[in-house]
Amino acid sequence: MWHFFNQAEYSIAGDSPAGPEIEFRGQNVSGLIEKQTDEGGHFILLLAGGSPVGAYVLEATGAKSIPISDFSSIAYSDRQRLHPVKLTDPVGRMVWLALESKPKGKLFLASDNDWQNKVTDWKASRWTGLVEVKAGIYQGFAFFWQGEALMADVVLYTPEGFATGLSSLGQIEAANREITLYEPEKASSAFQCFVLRQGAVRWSHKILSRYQELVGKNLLQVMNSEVNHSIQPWNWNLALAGNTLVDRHFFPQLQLATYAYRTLFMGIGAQMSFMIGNHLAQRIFSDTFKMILPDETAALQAQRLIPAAFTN
Amino acid sequence: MSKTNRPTPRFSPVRVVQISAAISLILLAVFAWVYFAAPIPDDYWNDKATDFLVILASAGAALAGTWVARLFEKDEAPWRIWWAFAIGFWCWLAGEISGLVYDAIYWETQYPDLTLIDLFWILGYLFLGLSLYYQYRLIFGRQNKRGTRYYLALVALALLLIAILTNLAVSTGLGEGYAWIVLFITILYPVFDLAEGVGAIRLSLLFGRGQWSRPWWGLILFALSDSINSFYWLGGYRWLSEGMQTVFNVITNITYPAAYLVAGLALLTNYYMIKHGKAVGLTKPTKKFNENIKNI
Repeated sequence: MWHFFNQAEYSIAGDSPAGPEIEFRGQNVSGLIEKQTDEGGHFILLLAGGSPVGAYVLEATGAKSIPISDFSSIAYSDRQRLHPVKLTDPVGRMVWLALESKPKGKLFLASDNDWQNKVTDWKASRWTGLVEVKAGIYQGFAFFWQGEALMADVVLYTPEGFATGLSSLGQIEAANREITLYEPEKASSAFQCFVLRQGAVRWSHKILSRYQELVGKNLLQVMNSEVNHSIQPWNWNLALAGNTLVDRHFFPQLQLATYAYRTLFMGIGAQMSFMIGNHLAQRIFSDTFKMILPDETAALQAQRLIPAAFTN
Repeated sequence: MSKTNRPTPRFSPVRVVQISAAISLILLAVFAWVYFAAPIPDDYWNDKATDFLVILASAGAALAGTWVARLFEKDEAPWRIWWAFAIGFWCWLAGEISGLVYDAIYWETQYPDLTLIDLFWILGYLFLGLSLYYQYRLIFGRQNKRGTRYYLALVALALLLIAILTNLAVSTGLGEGYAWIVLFITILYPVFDLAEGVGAIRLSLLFGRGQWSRPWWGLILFALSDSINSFYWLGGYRWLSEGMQTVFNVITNITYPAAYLVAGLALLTNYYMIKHGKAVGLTKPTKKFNENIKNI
């Protein structure tokens, strides 16, 4: 029995024991590799865009981080003891959060209605935490951030592949759902990256919406197209679409995420200053910065992602 | 209107803007030559030649304003700003054409007290003022519910103030021999000029050197041109040396058509940027962006 996406299959080319890891690295894709030893040890390696993010040993109280090199040296008897899964970036991010959070309890919900009621409760109480849903062959994760769950932060494994968005959880056909609630480790890189991403997404949404109000949809589209073009060389799975930052990239380190968001905000700032002038651009950056959640503000400030940094 | 595939422009927008700028400079040079050198022996035709050049400039600005306004959908806030702006310029174009017609009719005699020219000019001021008001409201006053009625109340207040000033002028003997309405309009122009000029300057400072502010530069030039005329009307001409009179004459007469041309060119550039985006090569902040990104 595997911990993540038990039914997902991935065929490994070649006989090398390090096969899937090398393949994931070579293809620059995100993925996870679970390994079980004859002694009952259960280990996991997570990769983001081909780069190892962390290795973990599964224990009764949750996942514990181990050196990445230890994972490679762990022997296993046959291929049946290896479970590689290619992941999309949003799924990788959720798996990372699950591995770096503490399980806090389980629930059993008998119907979709019960699930919907639970979601309503979480929204109303502005709850923050990760939810793992298991039902038959389905396994999904949803991260609720102060009661909200972004589309990219809800992922579901289905026999047809991975789906995203809260509505995707409605695809679960099995009646009984096993819910595991996780409490995020505030100091973990996974959680810090998550909060930084929420901050970047919310702040950019406020900036883009205000800019659109001032100059209209067409000029917003011009700016989006310019900024998207300017960040192309980095191959980030980031794009401005309408008044939203669509962030589907799995950054394995906080510094890498910071660099990407800084580049993106600089592009937005340069374009806005050109069109509406530096003074007004600065004002929009500052005004909207006050409109995001305090935790997000703190995360952005800690990385020096502040209004003054993005306008001339 | 979120088109992912923008239409490819038939002509290179950069070239169109460059050619338009070159034509504008030529137009301005010809205007200055005709106005100051008076090469046509007949005064009337000399005057009509300059009028015609001003009509060309104002038609260009009105057309470009309409092109920009048409790019917005009705539910977008800039829609009303740029339609008001464009209508204002169409009114002034109508005023310029009316001036040509009135000259043809009344060249040898005096204009009537109230003319269509005045009507179109005042309407132009009202629409351009409305455009400024909408722009300010979009920047500063999104939360309050003040609508167009608030603007109309402001206009009514301004008209009342001008009426009081007119009565004051009449009581002190200023403008003796002129009808009340003539004095009223004579005072109205500099007041509106001043109000819109100050509004446009403030907006321009707020936008900095942003491309979006440039159509407003036209209003600033109009205010400059008209403020010199107002200064003359108040008797300032007598206080100037002959040399300064020439300088002021050149400024007031050249800035007038230049105001239309500046607004028109800025609107034309904005039109291409909105319609075709980066493909047209009119956006250029990437250089600064590339410099900044190296320093991260």
